[in-house]
Amino acid sequence: MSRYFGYMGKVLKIDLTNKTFGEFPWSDEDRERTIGGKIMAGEILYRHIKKGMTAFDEDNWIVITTGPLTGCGVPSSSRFNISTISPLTGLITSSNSGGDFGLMLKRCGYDGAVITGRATTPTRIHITQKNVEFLDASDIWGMECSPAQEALPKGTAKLVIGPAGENKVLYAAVLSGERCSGRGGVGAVFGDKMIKAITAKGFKHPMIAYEEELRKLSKKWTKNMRKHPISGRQLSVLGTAGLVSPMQARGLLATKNFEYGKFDDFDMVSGETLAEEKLVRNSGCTTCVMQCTRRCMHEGKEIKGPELEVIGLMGPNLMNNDLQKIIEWNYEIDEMGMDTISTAGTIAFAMELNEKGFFDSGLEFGKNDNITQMIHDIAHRRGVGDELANGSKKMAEKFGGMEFAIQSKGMELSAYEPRRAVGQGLGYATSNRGGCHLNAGYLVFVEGLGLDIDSLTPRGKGALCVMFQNLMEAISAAGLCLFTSYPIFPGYVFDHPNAIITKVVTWVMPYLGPIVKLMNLYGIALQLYIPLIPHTRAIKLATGMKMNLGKFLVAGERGYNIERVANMVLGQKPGADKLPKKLTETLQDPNNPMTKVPLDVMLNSYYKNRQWKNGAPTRKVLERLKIDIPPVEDYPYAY
Amino acid sequence: MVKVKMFGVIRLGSGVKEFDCEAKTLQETFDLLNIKSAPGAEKFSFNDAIVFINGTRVTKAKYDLQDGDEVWLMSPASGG
Repeated sequence: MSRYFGYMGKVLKIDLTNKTFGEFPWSDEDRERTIGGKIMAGEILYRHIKKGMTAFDEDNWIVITTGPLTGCGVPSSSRFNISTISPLTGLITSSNSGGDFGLMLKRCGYDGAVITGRATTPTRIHITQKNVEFLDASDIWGMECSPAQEALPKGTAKLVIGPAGENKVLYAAVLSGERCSGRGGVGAVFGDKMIKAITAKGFKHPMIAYEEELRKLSKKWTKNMRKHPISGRQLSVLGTAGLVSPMQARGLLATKNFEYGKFDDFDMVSGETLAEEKLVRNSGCTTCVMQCTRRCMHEGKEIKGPELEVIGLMGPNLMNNDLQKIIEWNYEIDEMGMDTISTAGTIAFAMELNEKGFFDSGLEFGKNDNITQMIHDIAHRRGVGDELANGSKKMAEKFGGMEFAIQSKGMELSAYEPRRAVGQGLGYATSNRGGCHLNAGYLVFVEGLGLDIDSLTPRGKGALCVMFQNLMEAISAAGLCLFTSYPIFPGYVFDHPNAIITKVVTWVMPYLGPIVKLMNLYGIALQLYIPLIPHTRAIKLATGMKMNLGKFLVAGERGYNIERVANMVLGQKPGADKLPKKLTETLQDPNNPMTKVPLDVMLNSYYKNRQWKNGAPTRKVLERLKIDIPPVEDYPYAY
Repeated sequence: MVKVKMFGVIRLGSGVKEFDCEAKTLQETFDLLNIKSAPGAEKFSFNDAIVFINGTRVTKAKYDLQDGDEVWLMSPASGG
């Protein structure tokens, strides 16, 4: 049990090999250090992993975690996290989702579930308040994600894998309803452990430390999010797809496997066209006020529409201008249970491999008629689909073309072309889970999308990247959607993009590097509450735990460092924070020498801001963050 | 002739996707947009918009347009 409210006070440990369950030890001190979510999961894995351990070892764990705010009534708080060793990167992956499973796990009385061992036959784990059952899932093994979920008992929250997870596609996903834990191949680890589904049903609710005060804060927070131009309007009107046009305007729209940053037919696949011609209605995660999900029609059926990432990566990046095809492919990828970003990125890479004569997969830029079949072939590991199922890095190791395999640490990049947003490029390179735009810190938000700071200068980007990464790590750990970070920036600067104050803010931001660096290094000194960041007050009111901006940022920093050290124990080497040469050596605009990612310059600053040496946390920072230092044979970098 | 294209909330709010005009100044394009908007639709001004002319961001309201210019009127956006 915990002395803190908000949490359920227990973590479930499930042993698949022996079909037993019990409680995983997790103390209040652990809660204070990690908050919850991905940092909690990272810490649990960090204590467990050994040098040489891989994703498909029986001893690899799956750690499902919620945050203290999951299910506590604050806006956009239905998030939960799945972490494990990724089969795609060989490193720790964390995948965040907004389905209802996290809420239900807490209703069963658990803040998280640690799944160990491996079943020998297809299994459904059913979690209730008092019991865990290991049920035969042979009847749904082989099913796609929707039919599998429909076959499971109504009234339960569900996690399922599709054929891709069963066939251990290295970027297989886990679905909760229509929401997807996509990145890093957590679905393949489910498949390896023969887990077809996890269901949960409970009726408990977390106790709230200061219920009335939290209710008032939530009301005010919701009001602020609703009136903010990004979270309150743009995301509900256009969804994330609303980014296609601004990305085109700024040369950020990845096109033809990141050859270009603009696509002539961009408006045929834009968020505006989606809203005008395809949108049936909005929807969103439970508890969310933004409702950014698009609902579209496909073959007479209403389905979840595409997000920005899949539009960008299956539209311009494949030289495809058919929006209905993207809607179809997005649906098919979800049904197969795969990560849309890695699927699309790998297909684009295969197209360029084919174009350059390295490997004939039959895939060609601008050719649409064989993509649906390829999605199915990847999921079932049939024919050349078996090659694509291993992701672009492993394909490059086999067929060549590593310089244009658009991945970092083995994970395919999202749709933002970083040669026009170099801070985003730094984030992609340093992200612990690989080429993820969110784990990267999402600096592109200020480099031309939400705000408009100089997107080509390396100045200040190292410090800003660290700050953004730490903040997003902590927001995620709390159980909140990362989009709750948008209202941190006052709505005025978005409503008035040409105002003098907006121009001053955007001009000065890169020059704030030294000040931001001080905040990065001495964040704990920020013992204050900033109303624009209500996350900290919400944690305090929900849990009763002491929380302020400094503790929040340091928790985020701790999370980033825990994952990094874990990764290095698992085999990541110094120098792994890199991008393909196409992005660091080839100019996007041959007439503009600034249009490439100046990674070396920014990395130097980034590492200083993190107190890392060549990508490895030093003893000094690990001691400051109270992170156990591994033995010298596993982690020589601290000795 | 100047081509004016709308994006984001400006397009969805006004109901106008694009139009050609003989505008000489940037301000005229907003005036024309507001005339062409659906009845009762939200009105937009330079202060609300991110403006690109021929692919370059323009942050000053006083801008003389040339024949053949393409003007994009966009709203701030983000997501991920």
